[in-house]
Amino acid sequence: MRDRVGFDEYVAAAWPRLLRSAWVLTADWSLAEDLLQTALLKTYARWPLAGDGSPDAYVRRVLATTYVSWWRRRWRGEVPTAELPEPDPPADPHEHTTVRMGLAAALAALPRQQRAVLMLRYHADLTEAATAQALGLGVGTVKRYTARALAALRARPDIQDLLMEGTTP
Amino acid sequence: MTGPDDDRALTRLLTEHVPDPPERLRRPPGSGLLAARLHRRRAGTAALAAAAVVLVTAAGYGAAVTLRPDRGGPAAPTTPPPRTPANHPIEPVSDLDKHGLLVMLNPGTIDPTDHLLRVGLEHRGCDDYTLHAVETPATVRLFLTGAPVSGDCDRVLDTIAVRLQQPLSNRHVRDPLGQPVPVLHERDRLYPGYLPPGVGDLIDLQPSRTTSLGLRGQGWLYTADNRDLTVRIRQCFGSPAACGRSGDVVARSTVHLHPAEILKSAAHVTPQLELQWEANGYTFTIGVEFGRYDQDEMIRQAQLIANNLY
Repeated sequence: MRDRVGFDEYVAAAWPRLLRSAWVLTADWSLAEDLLQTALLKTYARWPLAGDGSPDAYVRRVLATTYVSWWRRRWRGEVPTAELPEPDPPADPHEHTTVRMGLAAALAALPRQQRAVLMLRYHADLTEAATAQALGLGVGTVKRYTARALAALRARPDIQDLLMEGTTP
Repeated sequence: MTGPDDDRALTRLLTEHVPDPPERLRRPPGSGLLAARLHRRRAGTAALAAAAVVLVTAAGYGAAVTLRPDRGGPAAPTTPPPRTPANHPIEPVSDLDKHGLLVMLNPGTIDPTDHLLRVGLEHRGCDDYTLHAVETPATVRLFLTGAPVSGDCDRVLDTIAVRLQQPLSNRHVRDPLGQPVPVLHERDRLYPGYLPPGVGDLIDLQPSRTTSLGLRGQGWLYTADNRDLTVRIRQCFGSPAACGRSGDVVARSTVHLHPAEILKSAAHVTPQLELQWEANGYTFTIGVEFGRYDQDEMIRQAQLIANNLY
């Protein structure tokens, strides 16, 4: 049995930020929770290695690769439930702001690999090379996906202002 | 392409504007729930095996059991989704199919405690696959069926499992085309016990026998890196000749008393060294890639990783 010391503590501390990373991929809190649990199960199996260094980066890579490899197929259909879940209350008064709703809609409209690239590159702060390696892509492909995703995000009126700020005229 | 301003804008958008989780999700489910989920995955697999389709086969063959793909994903819904149209046979192909995507069974592992045989499945994502095993005293023949799924096809790496009725023992595993599918005892699969400082992000790729993952031959590839160093660890079935060598021998050493060669690759833009040795029917290769070429340091790191495989 491999040593799992520290895994529970890590999950307790990192859960909220990792869940936000999963949300960038899924744009849905319930799917994000399920994706994160899946990633943590995989991390648990490799914890002595994952926990030595940067576990956040490890989990985020697992999130991205898991999401890219089967996530779309797994959730193509509806999962039957006995009862309809209660809708989540807003997490804060700004939950339903135009920007956040627009961001969710914009992310949901992106192809999954573009979302994975955005999450690793800009949310997890990986380099282009590291992003490419994590996803099994070429660096040029990462650049291309980024450019396409940026163009798609800028096409949305509700968030395009944020993406124009700071850009060189 | 994007520039620095674009990068800053995207970083801000995807950090500052990503919402906080709703209250009910702000705490993790706890290790108990995660452990229960792990158990549920295994139990779900067993339940599916119990409800498996039994295929009546030609004389001399035994019954077959089937399992749904095990993608290491969330627990399956308790009610299986309707599957129409019915499953149709899928034959792995050795070349690109009409969609330009692969359907291929890759090497696998066997867990002796529950006779669960897992193999890699590289497919086109156009079907929802099920693996079947037809067992004889000498062989285990694997078959795939699939039910079409809607949406665009895309290349997917899966692990797919089937529970055998009898221990695998010395029986050979073959794919639908009769080609051997190498199967490794789970306990023989080695994991790195040491990685250089700062290299902690290990990606365990699916088993493969294609060149698409950078793996020649058949086996497993792990890759780990930080911004300065990339490490690739391959465990390949067969001899170095079958698994491939990349470069000229620049030095020799030993790993756990097995003769090893250190190869300098000329095929990569970034300087790369590989430490390669053969043991117990496998070829192990530790590849290290530095931003700058420091042969002594690269050999030292590769040797440390090799000495600490477990």
